[in-house]
Amino acid sequence: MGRGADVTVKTPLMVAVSNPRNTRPEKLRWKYAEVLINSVSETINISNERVTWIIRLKNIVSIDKIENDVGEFLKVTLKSGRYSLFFYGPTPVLLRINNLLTKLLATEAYCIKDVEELDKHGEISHELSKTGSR
Amino acid sequence: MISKRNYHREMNMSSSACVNGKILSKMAENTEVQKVLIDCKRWRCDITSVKSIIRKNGSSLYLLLPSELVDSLSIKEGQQVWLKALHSEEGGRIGILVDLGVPVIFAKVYELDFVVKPADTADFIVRRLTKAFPVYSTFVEKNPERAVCVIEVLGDEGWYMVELKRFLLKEAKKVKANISSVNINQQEIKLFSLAPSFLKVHGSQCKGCEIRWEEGPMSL
Repeated sequence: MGRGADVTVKTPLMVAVSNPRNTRPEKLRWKYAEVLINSVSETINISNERVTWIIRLKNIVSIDKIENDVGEFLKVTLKSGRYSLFFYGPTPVLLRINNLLTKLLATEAYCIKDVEELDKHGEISHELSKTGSR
Repeated sequence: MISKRNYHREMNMSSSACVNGKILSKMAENTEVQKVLIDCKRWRCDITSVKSIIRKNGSSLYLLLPSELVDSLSIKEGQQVWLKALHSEEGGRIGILVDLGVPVIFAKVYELDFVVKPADTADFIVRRLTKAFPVYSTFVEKNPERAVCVIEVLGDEGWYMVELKRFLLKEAKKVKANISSVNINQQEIKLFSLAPSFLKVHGSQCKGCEIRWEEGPMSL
């Protein structure tokens, strides 16, 4: 996946919004939504029959991959520090989204395997947002 | 299972502490959302509520599950369930909770990846594939000279692989596109349905998807 190319990903996923400090993604209120990521418009469009969210890629500060007994989750934390978007779906699809976002944001995806580590990592995410590193 | 009458009665109750079988919160006056804590699990009563009847079968009785419930939750005949008898703290009312378990979606996914030249024709080809097959996800990366496409299709038959490739080449010919590096991989995915609405889309009606009810991990 080269940088500068026009990349579009379209897939249905389960999406949830929560506090960035949330350590149990499987306990969130999940919604089914169509996720569209476009590198030209630099947005993530999340829509279902009830809501539409448009996330600008420049407003993302960190991407985390969370693994637990339910499976793998992708956590995208926004600049405001108030919200994180959680994605859950087939592992190959999540992996592709993770790779794309990592490339577009030129950031690292952190892999978190347990709750204690996630707490520690939450602090790291905040530091990143303060320094504005991308 | 909480009866409709009891359900509406519960709607009028005020918020209270987290004890077994007790209503946890009232979200809004006119929204049909309730949370109940049973066996340390929080349950929400916002999917569907239907009326049913108990019938006789020999010396046992069976509870008739209406088709709307069967369809929306992808319940199958012969499925094992866990029944728990409940009674209201205020006394008088008794119910049964039918715990179906955790729905797990198993699907066969065919991943078709190919390179298209010129890149402009990729959108047309992907759109045509999306209309003809149960496409799950699409990935298109366009460079000035070529486009790399990855299409994931849900399917339960082996012939899909041949059919997909044939269709792709036919559609490419229509727009005079050159297709190269065609690869088809099959993989099986397993997914917990965390959102009830996900079952509607990838439930039993979805070709290539199978729902199995499991005990699930401890956290679910």
